[in-house]
Amino acid sequence: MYWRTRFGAAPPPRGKTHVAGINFKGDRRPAMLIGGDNSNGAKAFSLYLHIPYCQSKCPYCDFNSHAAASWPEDDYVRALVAEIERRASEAPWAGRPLKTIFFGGGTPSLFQPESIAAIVAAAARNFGIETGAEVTLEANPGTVDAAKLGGMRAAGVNRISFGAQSFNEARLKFLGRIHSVGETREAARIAHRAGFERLNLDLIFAVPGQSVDEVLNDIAQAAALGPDHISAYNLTFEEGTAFFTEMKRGQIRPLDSDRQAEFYAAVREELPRRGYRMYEISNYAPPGHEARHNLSYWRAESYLGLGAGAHSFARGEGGGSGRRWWNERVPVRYVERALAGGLAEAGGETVKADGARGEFVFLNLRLREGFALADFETRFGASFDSVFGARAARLFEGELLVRDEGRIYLSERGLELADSVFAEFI
Amino acid sequence: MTDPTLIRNFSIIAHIDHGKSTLADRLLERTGALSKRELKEQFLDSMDLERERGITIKARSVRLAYAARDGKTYTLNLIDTPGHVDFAYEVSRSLAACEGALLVVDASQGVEAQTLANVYMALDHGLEIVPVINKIDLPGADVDRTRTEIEEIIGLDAADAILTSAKEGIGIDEVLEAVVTRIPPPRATPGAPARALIFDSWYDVYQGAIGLVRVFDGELRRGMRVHLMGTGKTGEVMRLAHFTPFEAEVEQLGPGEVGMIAANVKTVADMRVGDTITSAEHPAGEPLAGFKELKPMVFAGLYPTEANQYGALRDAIDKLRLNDASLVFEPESSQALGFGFRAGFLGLLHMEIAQERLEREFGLNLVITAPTVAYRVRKQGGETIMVDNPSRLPDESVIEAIEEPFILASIHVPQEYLGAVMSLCEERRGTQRDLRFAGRGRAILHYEMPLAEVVFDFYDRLKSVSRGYASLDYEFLDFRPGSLVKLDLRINGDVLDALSVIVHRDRAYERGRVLCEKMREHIPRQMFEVAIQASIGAKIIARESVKALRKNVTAKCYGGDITRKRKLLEKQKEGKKRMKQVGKVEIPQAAFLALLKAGE
Repeated sequence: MYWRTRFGAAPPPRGKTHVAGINFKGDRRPAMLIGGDNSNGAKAFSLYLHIPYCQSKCPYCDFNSHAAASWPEDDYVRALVAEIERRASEAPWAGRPLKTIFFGGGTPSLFQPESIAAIVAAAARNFGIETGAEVTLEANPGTVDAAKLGGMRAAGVNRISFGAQSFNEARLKFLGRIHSVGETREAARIAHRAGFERLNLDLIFAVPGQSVDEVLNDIAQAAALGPDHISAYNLTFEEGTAFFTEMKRGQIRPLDSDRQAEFYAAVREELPRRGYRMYEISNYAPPGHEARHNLSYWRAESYLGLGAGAHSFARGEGGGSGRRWWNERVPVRYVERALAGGLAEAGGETVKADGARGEFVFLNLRLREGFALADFETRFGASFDSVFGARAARLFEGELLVRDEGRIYLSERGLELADSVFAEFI
Repeated sequence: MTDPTLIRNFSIIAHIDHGKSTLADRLLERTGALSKRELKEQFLDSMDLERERGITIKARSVRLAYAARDGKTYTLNLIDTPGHVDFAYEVSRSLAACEGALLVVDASQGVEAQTLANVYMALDHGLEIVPVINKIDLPGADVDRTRTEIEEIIGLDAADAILTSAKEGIGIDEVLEAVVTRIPPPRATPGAPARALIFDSWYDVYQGAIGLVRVFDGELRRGMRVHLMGTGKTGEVMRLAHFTPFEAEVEQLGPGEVGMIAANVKTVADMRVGDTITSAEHPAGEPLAGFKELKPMVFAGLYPTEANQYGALRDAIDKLRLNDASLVFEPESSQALGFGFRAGFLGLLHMEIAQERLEREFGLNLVITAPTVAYRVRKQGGETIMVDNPSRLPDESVIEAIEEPFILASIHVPQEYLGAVMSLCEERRGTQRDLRFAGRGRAILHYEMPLAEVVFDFYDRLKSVSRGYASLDYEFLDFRPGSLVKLDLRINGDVLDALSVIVHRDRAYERGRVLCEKMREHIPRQMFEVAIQASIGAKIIARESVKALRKNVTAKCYGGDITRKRKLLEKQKEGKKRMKQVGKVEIPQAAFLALLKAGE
């Protein structure tokens, strides 16, 4: 495969025995330090663009997405462009280039390449895009063909993220996906042919009825398509989703948490075996191939989110505080407001210094490398120990957190109990 | 002053619901003390709580004028008594103020346990007992059988028992005549220095401590300087009065008379029930017999549900204390419950009443911990201390012996449940003293039992094994050495002070197992394993564990999720506020409560 030359040979073939039984007790030091932020210093920022439309709504999805047979594509593009123009003229975004762009959804691949091109061009015109910037587009394998992906590539997109989810037809159906396993394979081939060197595949595990072996097979199937990034998400039952309602009614039952832990352990063992290093709770990639856009979130950096329901965060000047805000969720209302003056804010909050410190910790701890104590201190003007020392003591003592060479990160067991650990920093 | 030969002092002894209050109302009505219109039902029980529960907590007295068939008008002092054994001492003082008592027995129910204790007490005080068989109008009434029971169980001649229906007003005149003719008048020693027995006291905001007294010798006059022989206080008589039942102020109280006294004494702790009032100028040589300081028998922690109510609880307790000298309180703090008080009570009912008053009269919400008893600990070197809180038990190495309070339990039970009740008593380390059959298929059991076994849900179990038919009465016997040990509950090795209990060695394993299980049920899985152990000293005798949570991680957290995610974590943290951190783990307050709370 095209990237394999960069990060090594294929993993050794494996027999039927899987790794569910292997314990992650030992705190092997995770391979550290995601490099590769080749932007021009801290000034460059990440831009998120939300495309809320889908052909159908998946029963597990709690994102701001809306099933639609048709959508006001031109208006929506004009709305995004209006927002770009408006934001580019004001603090804190004015005069700062983009290091990443991410088209998320919804299903951005429903839009025509011309639309995406218009948006990228507007971003380039108004903010400027750094050389080597990462431009990602989320795509449903059932919505692409060679022409579309070729067009997207030409529009400036250089990374595609497919929602593969599973390589089992029955499972795809259960998950409400509109595509087949065959379409996933075909989409990945087309993407390569269209010149996408960076490709992510999303997988979902711990689906009721699934076995660990099936998930390991999904991983093998996904890896065989040669992506340079795999996101593997534990299925969750979020409020407001069809699955949540069915769960409440007793129609489906999530796997118990002990079983989910087995799946998660197997996934964490299997992906690195195939060359995908775990760098975040649910994300795996060969070194240097991490999703730079998402790293901005986990490193608690500023990002600008445009489109219906998109969230933005602007770090404050000193003290570590910041402001977060979000747009109108309903697409028609978003479009109407954005077109009227380039702003569609529906709400926001000030993240005060103590809240910001907690966020910094729980976001950065999602990363396998955690964070450097020095970075914490630089950002907040106080040492981690002076702020959280007392609360973190039992986490270190209980070996959920590790302190090593000036960094703090989750142990293997800490990863499995990340939310419990995070709650200590709130 | 009333001629003592025209005075009759009496009280009414009856089991709950056998009609004491109704009979008292009839007597008031018949003697014209109250018109029907004025007569609130059950006038004597003035506190709401008493009326609701049908029991009398504080004694009252009422002075009745009765024109008897012999043409003379008598002064009858009806002295009401508390109806529960927790107040046995107050009952005994009230009885000591009388020359006779009406024994009221429900014709359909027969003699009950509670009645017995009070009848024997009355007999001990040499009172003339007049049996009254009440509720003869009820379909289930069996007068002959009731008569036989009075004779066989109590040993009183019931041939002359008066038959009444207080509800229907039947036999009331006969009762009043019997009071005059069968109960002797008070006897006084002429010229003796004043001696009056305090048989009740309460606090009044304007007058301070008020005493209800029965004058035995001499007289009390307004303006007289008096001396309280037990507490050593002195005061000046500010006010004297009868209750008719309305307060009627008088200048003096003579021999045999009953009334209230206000003597510039500040607290009820100085106006103790059982104490003797005498003249400060011409004091009596000896006080009246029977004064004793009451020792609390049952102890429990009282904690406000909301920490910010601690101050309000303290104020409420101070006020309650003004009126109840037998309540003992001291501040206490608990790992689980925060700041509160350790309180000593005369018994379980006394405890319940105090709790209800605090909640009802002062609007407090309380957590009350499971009751315990006070142990007498003999230390090496001869020192003896009382320990009412297990966490204060001295180290095992310095203890010579631990003694626990024993009681004599009287249990009335239908024969069909006899076996079950006996097993329960044996299970609770009881020793049978005797068993008598009492007609109507009922048995009277006497067991010597450790009080600790009785306060620990015994009453509920008794009711349950007898389908509610058994009744219980008990009196304190003595302290007896036992094979007692302190049982500690440990969380990951750390002892939770608040949960330590003193138990009999034979019962320690079972109790330890139950405590551990209960604890486990209330502890959620969390980051770390929770080892729950029960131990005697360093020896672990029971264990349970709550395995560590294996997975709690949100799979997705991107730009749009952060605010929501933080709010979820905040919520999670909010829930933790009701948890106590013990070492590395967190124990919900509910778990402490489940182990501490009374009635669970």
